[in-house]
Amino acid sequence: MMTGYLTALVITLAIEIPIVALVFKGQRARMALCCLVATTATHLAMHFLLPRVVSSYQQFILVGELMATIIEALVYALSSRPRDWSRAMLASALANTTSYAAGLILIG
Amino acid sequence: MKAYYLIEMGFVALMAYAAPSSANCAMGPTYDINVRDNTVMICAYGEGMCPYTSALLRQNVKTGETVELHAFCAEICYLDECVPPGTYRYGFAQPFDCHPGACGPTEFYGEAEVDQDSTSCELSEGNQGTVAYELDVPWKDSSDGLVCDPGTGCVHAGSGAPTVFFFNIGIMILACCLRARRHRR
Repeated sequence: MMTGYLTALVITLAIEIPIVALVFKGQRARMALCCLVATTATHLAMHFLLPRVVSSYQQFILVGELMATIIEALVYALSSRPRDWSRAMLASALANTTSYAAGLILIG
Repeated sequence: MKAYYLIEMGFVALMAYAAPSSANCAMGPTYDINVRDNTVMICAYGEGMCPYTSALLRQNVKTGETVELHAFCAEICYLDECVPPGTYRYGFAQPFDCHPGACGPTEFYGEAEVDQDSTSCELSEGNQGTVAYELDVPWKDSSDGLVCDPGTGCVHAGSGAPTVFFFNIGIMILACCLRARRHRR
């Protein structure tokens, strides 16, 4: 299980970190680090806490993915200098959509 | 940068239409089973996340032949690869406890139908396949496959993937509009 989980986490980070860094021009290193921390946290929560409270795959996907987008956007907005909400929303939605699409393609 | 966003948004819009869909409305411990070619993905919610403490069994409905799956996990779900064509029941050797407060039945098993030929199929690395199971399946004497059924109905959940894409696309469009408005000022 852990190998499968770690593979999923590494794929997610490999996709999301460059996207977030790309969107936040001028503060790429800091925002990449923020993405690493935020994405790891939401990924862990989604895969190890969420399954205990949901009752279907649809709920798992919906609640997990939507919460990840919202939480990561909040983290990026609060970490960016100057604080940039629209860029944070764009970065989070773009990164999460791409990694979710990659998950569908690679894992199914 | 703008072209990159446009390509990305076009890609995710296409993905929204291509996303898979399935639904299982039961609340409480339940099986959610999806088949793709010869691979069966068995997800258990509420409890029973892979690897679970109890062995997962696969019973051929027609022949009654039962095997025990070595836990090969895809995140929280079990994967059963290279399954020969047939109709199967997947359930844990130790069934879920009855959840009388749930809005749907507690199931002994979930069913899957495989119709693809599996002769050229190979197991993924790390998948140890199955072993024969000689004991009786726990649903042997059950006529309806249910541990219990409180019979209070349940709320249908739609497929999650398109919603995720449309939500994220909505966020992207909103963010782009906010940025465009700010640049116009």
